[in-house]
Amino acid sequence: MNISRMRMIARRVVTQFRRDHRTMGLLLVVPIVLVSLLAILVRSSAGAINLGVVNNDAAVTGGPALGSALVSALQANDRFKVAQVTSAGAETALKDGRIKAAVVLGPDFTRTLVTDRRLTLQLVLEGSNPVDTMGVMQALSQTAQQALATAISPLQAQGSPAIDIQTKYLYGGPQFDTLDLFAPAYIPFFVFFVVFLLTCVSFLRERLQGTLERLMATPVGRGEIVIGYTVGFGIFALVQSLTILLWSIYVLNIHYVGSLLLVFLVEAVLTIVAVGMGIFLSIFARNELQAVQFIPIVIVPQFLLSGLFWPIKDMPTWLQPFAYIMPLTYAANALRNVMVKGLGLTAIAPDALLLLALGVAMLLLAAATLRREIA
Amino acid sequence: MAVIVTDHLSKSFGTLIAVKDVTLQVEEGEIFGLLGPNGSGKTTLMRMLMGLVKPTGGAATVLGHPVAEKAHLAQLGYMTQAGALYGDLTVRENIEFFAAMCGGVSKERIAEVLALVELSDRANSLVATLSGGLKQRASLACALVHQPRLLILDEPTVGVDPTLRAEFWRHFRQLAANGTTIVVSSHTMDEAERCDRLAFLRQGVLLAVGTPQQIVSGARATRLEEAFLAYAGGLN
Repeated sequence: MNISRMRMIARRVVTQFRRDHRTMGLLLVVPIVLVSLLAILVRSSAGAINLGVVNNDAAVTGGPALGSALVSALQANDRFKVAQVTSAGAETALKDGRIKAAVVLGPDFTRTLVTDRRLTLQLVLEGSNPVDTMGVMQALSQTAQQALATAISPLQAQGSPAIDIQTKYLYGGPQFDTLDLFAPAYIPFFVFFVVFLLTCVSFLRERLQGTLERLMATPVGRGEIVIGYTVGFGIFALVQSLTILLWSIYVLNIHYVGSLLLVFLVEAVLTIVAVGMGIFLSIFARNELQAVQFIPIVIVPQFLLSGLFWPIKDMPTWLQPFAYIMPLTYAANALRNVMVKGLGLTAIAPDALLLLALGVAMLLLAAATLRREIA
Repeated sequence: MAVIVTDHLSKSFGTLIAVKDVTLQVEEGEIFGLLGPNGSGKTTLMRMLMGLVKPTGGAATVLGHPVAEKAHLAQLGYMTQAGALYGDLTVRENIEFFAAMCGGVSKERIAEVLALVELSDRANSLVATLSGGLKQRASLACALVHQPRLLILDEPTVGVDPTLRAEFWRHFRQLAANGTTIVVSSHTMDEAERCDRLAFLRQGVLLAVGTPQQIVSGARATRLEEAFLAYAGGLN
């Protein structure tokens, strides 16, 4: 062991990386940004939860209106923003995401409470995003007890009533476990991740080995190159999707509803975006190491911001526009609509079309960067 | 008929002048050599002729078309310094690919080109597994598979042993005899002597154009090497 030789090697490594400003930035800036993003996302979901209350309680004549008392108690709690809705209105509001949960009090609420000593209510959740559902349930369990206790305090003298809460999910529900609900998120994520990286690296290689220059010296058009790449990688993306999907369904026993054909349609459109982005960003990398560095810059923010885990509506308003420029946002939303909600083509059309528009924009951008080969 | 006509062709990258006011003509069927020390602008000049670099001054036409056009590229063959082949494809697949980019050729033509560069027995080898000289042969095959009217070869014989180099030049001579025009850059003297005409570049400036004999006498030298050193050193 020779100390000075080892020192020289260490010095050489330091010198080389100090010259690579991007790697230095990656080392220092990127973790700070990503960790802060994560902190914002985790903490922002602790805000007031929009709750819909359907109060069908017919108070006992001359007796207490316990339904109204419960509504007031919930309104007084600052963890909730309570809106009174009708049964039909509750479902639309849940689907739109205007409310996260609906508390439904039946016509016999007061009567069963007074005569049977039983508190019965129904809790309706949207249910397609497990993180969202978990958050709402947690908040409710922490505060609902308290609200209930306040509301029914007039009866407290005769002892606590039995509590009977029925939970109903608009989508998903008991036959969907957490993994089932994550499937629409992880499938597009892997497709995007792999196709983007493959395209980026192979296009970079095309530049580095000089074959791109040779291609540009033939009559081939930029559009032909970009579309050729898209079709080539599209085949791999669909094979990959099929593999993940079949494995998920038959080995991991993922439960899904909706049409697999629509799943593939969404994946195909997502591939266009990934290829376009891969070609476009490849001009910003000088070597394969720098291409790999796009993972924390391009992939991780999509993972955090596309609503895969944290609902976009819960993010701070300044962060939401970023979520809506992430292609994965639209892919995950469309796949959730198909796989969990069982919706059809018309329901996913807006997301799919937006994704397609993003894809076309990326391909145009990619084609435009090829022009820059001509200095 | 002049296959290449340049008129005060210039290219600068920022403050660096790569090619300056080059005016020359290359006639059909001739082997035209570009000579000059490293960094003299040979590659930039060739890339401008291929339309890969936009001139910052002057103009050039190739086969009668302005260089910015794309339509005539199918009639050009281009070979760059570094192999520029797909290492994970076989020799045959590389040749087929570049032929297809120029409109496609018959299976017989692919076999013919493979035989021409003597790679028939390695046709199904991955390019990445070939030695430097064999890669150069494969690269040449890709440049001439579609029977271009004009071949632009940027130092095609770098890293090629003398036997193979002699073979390359035999092919060039044969192609030229059949009417193909060849522009070839080099900095070895034995190659320069085999050209019909030569152009001498230094720091982007065209110093002399002519047959090897004219170049030698123009530099008041007795051999081409002396002329090269005279021009390269700027002694003239």
